[in-house]
Formats: sequence, structure tokens, C-alpha cells
Amino acid sequence: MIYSENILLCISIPLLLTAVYTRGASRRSLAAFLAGMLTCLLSSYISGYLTLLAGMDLNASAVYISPTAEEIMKLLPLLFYLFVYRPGEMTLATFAISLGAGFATFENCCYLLATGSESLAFTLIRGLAVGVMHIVCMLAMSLSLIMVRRYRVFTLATVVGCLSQAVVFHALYNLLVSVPGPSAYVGYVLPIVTAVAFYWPYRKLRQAWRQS
Amino acid sequence: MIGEILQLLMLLLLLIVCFRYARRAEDNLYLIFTALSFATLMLSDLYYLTHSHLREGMRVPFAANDIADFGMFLLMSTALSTALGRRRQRTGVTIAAMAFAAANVALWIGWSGEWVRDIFGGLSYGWFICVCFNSLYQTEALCRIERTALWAACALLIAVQTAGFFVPAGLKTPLNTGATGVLAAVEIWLLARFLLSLRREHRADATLSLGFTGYMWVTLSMYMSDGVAYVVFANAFTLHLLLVLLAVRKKVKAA
Repeated sequence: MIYSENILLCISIPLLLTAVYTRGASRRSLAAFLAGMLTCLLSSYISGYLTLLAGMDLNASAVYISPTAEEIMKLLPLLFYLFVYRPGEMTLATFAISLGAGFATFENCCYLLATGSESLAFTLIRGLAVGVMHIVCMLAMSLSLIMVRRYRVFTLATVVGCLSQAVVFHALYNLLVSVPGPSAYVGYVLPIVTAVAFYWPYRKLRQAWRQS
Repeated sequence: MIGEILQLLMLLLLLIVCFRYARRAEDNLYLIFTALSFATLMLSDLYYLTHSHLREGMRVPFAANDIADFGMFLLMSTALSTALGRRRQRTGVTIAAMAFAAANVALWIGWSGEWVRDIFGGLSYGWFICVCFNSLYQTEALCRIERTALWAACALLIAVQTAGFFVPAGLKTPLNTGATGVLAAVEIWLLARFLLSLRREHRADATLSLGFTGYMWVTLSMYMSDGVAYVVFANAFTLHLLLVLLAVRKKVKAA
């Protein structure tokens, strides 16, 4: 049993203090990081509630419930930022990545505290797989939002359509790593491979945004 | 299982082709949405196959692949509506299409008893039905008599399937066969109209509308059938993915 609220407080207080002394892009990234951690806590509450409601065990919950709850919860602060602050394309993508990083960091902290961090190999796998997976999902989601906003097709249908891709990618990862063996190794590699595949198109897009 | 693997390979191929078109074309938004819908369906298939392999014998509950399927319909609807541009939506057609979708949802719930999956699925699929039926009017892909016949087929289908809940057990098989016959007849007719339209030089929008409507209909046929009929419609579904791409290709060439 861990007290995740206490862990969140402990990590977020220095970050909040840092946010006071920073300005501009650094503060924005810190705020997104903090929002990501808070989102992680809230989505764990929702996932836990739905797991109890459905009468599932933790393994089944990780495959069937958590991906949907977590991706929807991550989308909400992103949409809030998009509608309230109307950021530029580059800023939105950076915010989304920081949000994903905050989410992954807090999830990893809680996971390692709950299960132990004696094995270096396990912690590395955890960091490279789950950590990267959340960032990839958020990056893909932000790119989709940027596209639908740019082409003026920002509708519920397009947002839900784009969200569904993040949900199924996340669920696929959770499903693969839920069973030990070769499938788990495929699962661990999946986020890194996707991140590498995303890197070049993202770099091109970033250059295009800078020029425009 | 083999059918799903074939569908997965087909989707991968279509995805690559679609992205290649999108890179070349200037007005490429509908191509991007078509590619995204193919990608969503591919991920859904991948999830389903992985689940079937890793958790053999366990029924897939309402999960990510269903959400991906709903997303796929929404992205397909967006692809079609952006390809056709801002055209007038007919309120009557929208209401009738929504009523047809609602009747379908009621039938699915009656058959499976899964409220959540069927209601959410019905919302996204219903939206797709609306966009497809409206596109038939907007592009005049079908003439007036053909459109009336399509509506009649929809009404007949709902009537026959609803009757299946109330008739004695002995009458259920002939009713099911009749419904499958109606589904197959409309499917063949739409396929023929699509191929005719594809051969004509002009009217790329009409071909696109027929391609997407055929895809919508084959999905409906899969949902409304079981046994051998389901397998046949599932294979037709894979074929229809290719037809959607052919329709998109014609639109790209026309542009």
C-alpha cells in the first residue's frame, strides 16, 4: 500500500517553487509536467473505481480499463490548454510532451515504490517502455489536434477519432506486457520503435512551424 | 484468424499507398483522414489478434479495439465529408438515417444484451450512416428510384429482423435467410453501381460516395449476420477497404 497523494505532494512542491522563479516556456513546461502528475493520480482513482465496478483483477484492469481512462484524462488538460490559451503549434506539442512526461514520471515513481527498485534492468525497461509510451501517445494526440485545428475540422468526431488511436496503442502495449515471455519483449520495444519512427516527421513539422 | 491477418496486411498496404497519395496531392485532408481511419482499424485488428493469441479462449470484453472501431467510423465520416466539401445536409435524410441507426442499435442490444458497447457503437456508426446517406443525395450517386429502393431495403431489413424476436422458433431460420438475402442483394447492387461509376471518367465524388456507402453497408451486413454469411461478409469487408482506396485514388486523379 502506498500513499500516492503524499508522493505527489512531495514531488510537486519543489516543482511549484521552481515555477514561481521561472518564466515563459520553462514555466509552461513545468505546469504541464505538474498537470501530467495530477492527471495520473486522478486517472488512477477513476480506473480503480471502474475496476471495482466491473469486478476485474488488476491485470485485467490494466488491459481493459486503464488505457481508456488514462488517455481520456490526459486529453482533458490538453483540450483545456488549447481552448483557454490558444497556443501556437510548437507550444501545444511541447505542452503535450511535458504532460505525458509528468504522467509517466509519477506513474513510474508509484510503481517502483510499490514493487521495489532493486533490479536495474527492470527499472530501465520500465523507464524506456512506459515512460516513452505516454510521451508517444501525447505527441500523436497533439499532432492530431494541431492538424484538425489548422484545417478547421475541429469537431467531436475528429477529436474522438484521434483519441481512439492513442487508446488502442496504449491498450496494445499493456496487453503485450501483461503476459511474460516473447510478447512482453515486443511490448517493451514497441514504444521506442514508435518514438524513433515519429522523430523524423516531427522534426520536419517543427521546422515547418518555425518557418511559418 | 487467417481472415484477420489478411485484413491486417491489406490495411498496411492501403495505409502506405494512402500516405503516398497524401504527400503528392495538394488538397490532401480527406486522404489524411482516410489514412488515419485505416491506421485505427489496423491497430484494432492488431489488438484483437494479440488478444486472441495471448488470452486464447477468453472473450474480448468491451475494450480498446471497440473504441478504435468507433474512432474508425468517425474518421471515415470526416474523410468523406471533407472530400465532398461544405454541401447542404438534408434534414429529412439525417433524421431517417438516425432512425435507421437507432433501430439497428435496438436490434444489437436485443441480440447481445451489451448496452454500453452497442449504444456507443451505434452513435459513431449512426453518424457514419448519416454522412453516407447524405452524400448519396449531395453527389447524386444514385437516382431517385434507386435511393427510394435503398430506403425500402433498410425498412424491410429492420422489419424482418424485428419480427425475428416475436415469431415461433421454426420461422426464425427463413426470416434470417431472407434478411441475409436482402443484405447481400443491396451489397451486390452497390458494388455494381460503384464499379460502373469507377469506370466513368468524371464524377469522382459520386464514386467516393458509393465506395464509402458500400463500406458502410458491408459493415452493417457483418453486424446483422452469423455463421457462413458472416464469414462471407467479413471477406467482402476486406475487399471493400480496397474499393474505398480506389475511390480515393479516382478523386486524387480528378483533382
